[in-house]
Amino acid sequence: MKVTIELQAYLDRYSPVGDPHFQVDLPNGATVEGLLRHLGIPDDMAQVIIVNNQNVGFEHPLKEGDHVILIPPLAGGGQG
Amino acid sequence: MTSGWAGQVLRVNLTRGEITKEPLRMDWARAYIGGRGLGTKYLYEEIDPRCDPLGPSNKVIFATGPLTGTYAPTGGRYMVLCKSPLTDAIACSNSGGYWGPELKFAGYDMVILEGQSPRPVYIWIHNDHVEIRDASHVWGKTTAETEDILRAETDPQARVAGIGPAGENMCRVACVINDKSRAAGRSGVGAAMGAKRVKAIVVRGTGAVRVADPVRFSQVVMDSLQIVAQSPVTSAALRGLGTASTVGFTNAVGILPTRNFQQGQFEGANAISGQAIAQSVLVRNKGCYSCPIGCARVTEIKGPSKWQGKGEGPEYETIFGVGSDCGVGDLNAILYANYLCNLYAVDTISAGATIATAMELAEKGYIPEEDLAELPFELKFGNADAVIGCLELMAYRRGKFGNLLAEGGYRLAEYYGHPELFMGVKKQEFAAYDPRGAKGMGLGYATSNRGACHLRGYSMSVEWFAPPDQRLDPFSIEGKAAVQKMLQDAAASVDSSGVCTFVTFALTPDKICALYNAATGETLTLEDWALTGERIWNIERLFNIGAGLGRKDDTLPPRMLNEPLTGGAVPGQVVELEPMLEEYYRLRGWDEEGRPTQETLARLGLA
Repeated sequence: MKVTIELQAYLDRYSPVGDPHFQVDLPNGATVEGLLRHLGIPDDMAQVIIVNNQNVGFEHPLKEGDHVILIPPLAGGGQG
Repeated sequence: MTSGWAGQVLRVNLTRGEITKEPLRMDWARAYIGGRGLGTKYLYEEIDPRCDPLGPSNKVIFATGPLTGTYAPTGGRYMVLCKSPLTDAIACSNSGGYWGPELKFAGYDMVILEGQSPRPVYIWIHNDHVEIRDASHVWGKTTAETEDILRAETDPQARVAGIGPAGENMCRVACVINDKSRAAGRSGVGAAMGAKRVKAIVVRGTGAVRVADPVRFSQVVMDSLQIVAQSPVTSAALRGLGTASTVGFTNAVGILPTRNFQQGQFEGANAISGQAIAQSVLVRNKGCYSCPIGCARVTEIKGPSKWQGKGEGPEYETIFGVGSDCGVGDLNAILYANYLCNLYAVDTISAGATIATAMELAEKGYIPEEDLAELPFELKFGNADAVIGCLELMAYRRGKFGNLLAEGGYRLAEYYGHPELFMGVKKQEFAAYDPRGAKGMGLGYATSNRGACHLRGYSMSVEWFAPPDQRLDPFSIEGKAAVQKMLQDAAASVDSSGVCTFVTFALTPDKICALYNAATGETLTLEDWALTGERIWNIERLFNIGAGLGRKDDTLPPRMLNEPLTGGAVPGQVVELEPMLEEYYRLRGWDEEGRPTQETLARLGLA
């Protein structure tokens, strides 16, 4: 099955194509955890996982056409 | 000689042109750590909280912490405190760069500006030598021009903190800029300085800051540097991509405030993200004094663009303020607006958000045609010319509309009869997290002593930016009151110490407390450290109560309370503030009007 991936911030280093937006082909029944293994992303580098606008965990099963956003540890702010 | 401290306060009475030096109140320094806490204690003791913030009775305090000017990681912060011209509450704005350490090297922990000068002046501090000098030749000039001129006539290595045209014109969202691009940004502290007719404080110091236990201090510093280097947040995220690394995240989740908080996702987000900056306009990153992180961005607009220039920025908050909140997705325009904010010395958050409020007022037809007719641009979301144009009108108070913009978003919206379109708390504009998708942030905004602020209790760190097993449900209100109290107290201690809040993304409070103890020779336990933060939070609250603020001001705009936010991963949420607020007051030991009880004051040594 084909799944669309969006790697946020510095996770783009794990993109097989260089671009943070790409598609991967995964075996049917693959989970988010399987996707992370496929891309070589350590668990603690995928802190927030959004699949089709839903905040999910590692065990979440993926299906054809899913849109997956992976977000690494971040924090932000700005002027004091 | 005291350790961690210079031990001396410089007091400048501008009405009389008098300069005095006095010993630092060490009893207060111990009870309030330094910087934010200590400066608040001085203000609390010395001014009437009901005073006119733009009158001679207000005071403006430049305060460092005991770690400022040491080699503690990020030990370069100073704070500007006063009664805020924007909020009428306590103001404490925090900046990095190199000015704070230089003040310590010159032999002073704080500078207190009081009274009001009859003419524009600047203060020249060169170690023991202090002068009040005429500033008529730099009045009206930008921060960059002022810094160049004043360094040329004092010392090429001097550090300059001062105001731009916005502060001179008492624009209520004016800030103080040091080292040309570091900002003590929030709450209009630049307007309070401008009201005193002080253009700048120029400092050259050749001394050093002593630490009580150099061996222990060095050990903790070395440990801390390793932790900072290994943390992905302080290395890959903040050093690699700056604070703008979060744009894609907040947009994906659906809490990137867009068009005056009407939406939580911006269709142009990819073009204004940290990655976009790194790929197109970034020259290099930059660190403040003793900073191992280096989150600042040195940038330059490259290639054909109607906007040209170079400078520093943008931060995440700026990308929101002059970008998504105004519907602007042109990165070059955002950079240019950021550079202008630094030159005029206005807060990029409040200035941008005020313009966003103006755009929604115009969109809804609440601004009469004759007021819009005087503008040389069309005031509408997405129009970068309008953002740039408004910044100039605001900083120079040009025309009727410029004068209204200079008053900040609340007064602008109120003037046009729609205060509900102001997005902020206590007349200060929200930062760049829509609280409907992170409800602890909602409580934090509502209860922040300086008005809406993301730094006072950054619960994003547990509502989104945490490993899944340590994360609190961002859409639930459960446990948020306790988390906010804990984070608010912790941030008060950290700010007061003189390190940057960003170092706490890697270091736990015990490390900062250990640095403080080794620098000062104090022996605070972690419990004492937290309790001191709570004392600081409560004295800020006492100042605000004295200024007439109370429960009625601990609230959110109706949009946050009643209009569901949808899109991204936020499924139709509002902030259920009241139950969180009641629990929060109870945990703080405050009565139902939000006043600390006698018992609480006694427990904190404030009775």
